[in-house]
Amino acid sequence: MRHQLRICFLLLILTCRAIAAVEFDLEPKIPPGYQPVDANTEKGIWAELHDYEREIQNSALLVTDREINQYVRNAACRVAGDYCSDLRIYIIRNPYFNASMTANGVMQVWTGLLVRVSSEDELAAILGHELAHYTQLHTLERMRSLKNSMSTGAVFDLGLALLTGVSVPVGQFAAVLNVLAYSREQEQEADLLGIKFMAAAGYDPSATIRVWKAVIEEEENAAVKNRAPGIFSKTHPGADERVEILESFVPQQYTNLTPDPQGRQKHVDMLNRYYMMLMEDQIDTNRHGRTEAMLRNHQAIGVDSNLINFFWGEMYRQRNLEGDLDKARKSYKLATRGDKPVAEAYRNLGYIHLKERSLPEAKHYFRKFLEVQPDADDRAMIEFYLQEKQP
Amino acid sequence: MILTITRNNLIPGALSLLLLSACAATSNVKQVDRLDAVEEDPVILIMTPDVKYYLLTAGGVSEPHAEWTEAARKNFSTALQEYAKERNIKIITPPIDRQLDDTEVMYQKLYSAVGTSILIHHFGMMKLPTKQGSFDWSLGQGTQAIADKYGADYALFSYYRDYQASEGRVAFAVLAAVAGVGISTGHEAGFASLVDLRTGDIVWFNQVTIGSGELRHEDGARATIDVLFENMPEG
Amino acid sequence: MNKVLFSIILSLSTVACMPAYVAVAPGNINYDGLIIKTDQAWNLAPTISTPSARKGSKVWTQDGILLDRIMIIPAVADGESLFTTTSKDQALPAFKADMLPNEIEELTESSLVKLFKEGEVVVQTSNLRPHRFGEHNGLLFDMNVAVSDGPNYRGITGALVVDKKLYLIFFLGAEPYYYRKHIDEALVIIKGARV
Repeated sequence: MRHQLRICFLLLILTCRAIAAVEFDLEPKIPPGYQPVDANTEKGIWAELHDYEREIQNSALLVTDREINQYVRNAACRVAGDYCSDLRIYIIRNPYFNASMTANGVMQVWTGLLVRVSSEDELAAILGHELAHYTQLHTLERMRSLKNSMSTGAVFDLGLALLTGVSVPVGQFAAVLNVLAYSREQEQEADLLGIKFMAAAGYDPSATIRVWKAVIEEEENAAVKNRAPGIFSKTHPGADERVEILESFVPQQYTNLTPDPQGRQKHVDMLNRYYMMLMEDQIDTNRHGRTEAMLRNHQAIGVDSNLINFFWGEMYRQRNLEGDLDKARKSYKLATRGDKPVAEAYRNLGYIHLKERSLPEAKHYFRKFLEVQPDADDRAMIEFYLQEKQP
Repeated sequence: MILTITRNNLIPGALSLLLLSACAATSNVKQVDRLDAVEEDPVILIMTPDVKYYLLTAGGVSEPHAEWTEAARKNFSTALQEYAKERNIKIITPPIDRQLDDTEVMYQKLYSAVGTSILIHHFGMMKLPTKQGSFDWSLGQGTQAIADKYGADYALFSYYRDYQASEGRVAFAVLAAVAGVGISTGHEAGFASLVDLRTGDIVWFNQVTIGSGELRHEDGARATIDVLFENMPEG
Repeated sequence: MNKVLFSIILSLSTVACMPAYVAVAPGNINYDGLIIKTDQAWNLAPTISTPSARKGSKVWTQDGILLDRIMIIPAVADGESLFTTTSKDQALPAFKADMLPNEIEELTESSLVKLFKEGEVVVQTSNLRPHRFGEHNGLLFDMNVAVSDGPNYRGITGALVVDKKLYLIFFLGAEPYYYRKHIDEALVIIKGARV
């Protein structure tokens, strides 16, 4: 055991040295405003990517809301610096963790990622990481090498479809994801250059460590591990190993780490604003372990407690194990405190009491619900219950 | 190993779609008969073709679509305009790269479902008994909006899909295969239609299998156009 | 799973005996205790066209299930799902006999997400309201299904619980045109269903 530890330690030191050397030399390989040079290989790729971007623009899953787009775009632009005008950012409504960037500047972020990261720094960490894959031409390299080995133009689309996920179901094509996964070297390069981008933009580089750890933790909390793998985890392998390396590297390189409280607040503000949509999608996935992990995280970073409690209620209610209904009730009650009660919490409390056949309490909550949300779209149903007579 | 690829090829895709192979159905003659009164000078709008590929096996596709180059696109466009000029057919070919407006996107998506349904239920073996062989599929009168925007009487829609991966659309692949609609081992399903923009009715429908790159040659492009328009209604 | 299914189907297509759509004449039909009444002729889809349909459920269409479909799901018992799973980790939610209308609405919504493939679809339900199916209380709600690669679908669901079993019918029609084309008859069928 000690023998192994020593070897691990030795390897770590060697790697650190190697990383330090790499970091010194790491610069973007392409300039801002990069356009394809090789007419045959790349023009074809460029045309494919252009068509694919149009598909994203026409997608029914594209999120067009202004504030959330502004938030993500500002973060991306800040990280990208001079590369900002090369980027087009698209937010896709998909409850899983993924972000990707094509070789022509199309950056895609899934809503599942936005609800899992804890701060703008962590978002910047992912965006910086993807940007680095772009500036180092990793995506292009992968596609080219795949093209050669498969001798078919299909590989570009394959890569795009999987990376962007616009019309690819999560959890499928696991075998292919392995083929498309970035190599260890590419991943490390992206981690390190990504950190460089982040730090230059004034973000906290240690956010990278936190975000990879969160990805790992969520996998651990999932009841079904690695059978419905995240696309992101699969295409960005070796999270454990890289966290280890980053944990020694980052404090070494960046000694004055002062997390910007503004960064966290902006992110929490965005979460508060979109929480209902983001967490409703998560609840719909019916994966309670993962939902729990997310709620705990949101609690820790200061998302509005009423909102969090409401979704604890939702999770317990859906899970419906022994004792869960009671837990749901308690959570919903907490969600109605203060001057910003979550209206649906009243409604669901009404339903819980209805289930327990305590009609007067149910009516009390239903009335409160309609008070707070007079334009409720299920008003007809609620009023039906308000009319019910005790049997 | 199942791979998914996606590509939105433009006019060249439409061309190879429209190449008739031995398997292509010939029931399109019936559809022509649906036209009772053709416009004296029909104006036909060429809609952006809707093409996506899903490979079944790694490296299984023989035609690398990256080779459908801009030369092919140019050839098609030229051949199409020559043909149209000779026959006095007015065609409108909006810029390939344009961003479609919401209405066009909506009808492109609806067309994918309608066309596939026709492929499966009319040409294929999964007939719908209530139709009793009649052909009444339509996009609905709302297509008038497209007619108004472009000043066209008809629109040529084209579509190509290979094997589908998603559950919600497993109906496509499963049905298409079961229907036996000329699906070769490439598992392709493609079709083109002429839509009367005033009513939304599909007045001409043809099912095709993927071409073999004749678009890259000028005469190949021209020959394809001839075939494409062979059974089309003329003024 | 799809690969296996696909090859089975390919081999099937070379066999003379093929699954087919069957005409359903107007009138009353009893599916596992759920009585449906219609004035129009419909086409009943063969099971192979709807691999996720659980045993006993039926799918009707007039123009093709990609354009319009009425799905009839009778007698779902406590602990059962609305659809069958196609993979073990799909996490399909289950019906519970003491479910209230809002929970049935949620059950349908999250089941449809799984049916159409999570990450590829956004299902929205709204306008939950009570409806009396003969002598039983039940519910209705509207639906909107946006898929990533296809037309938008609009529809309606009707459901009731009798003797601890759920009876559910929904209609989905492609937009534009097909939803409008069939919604009137769909409402007649759904609202007129009896147990």
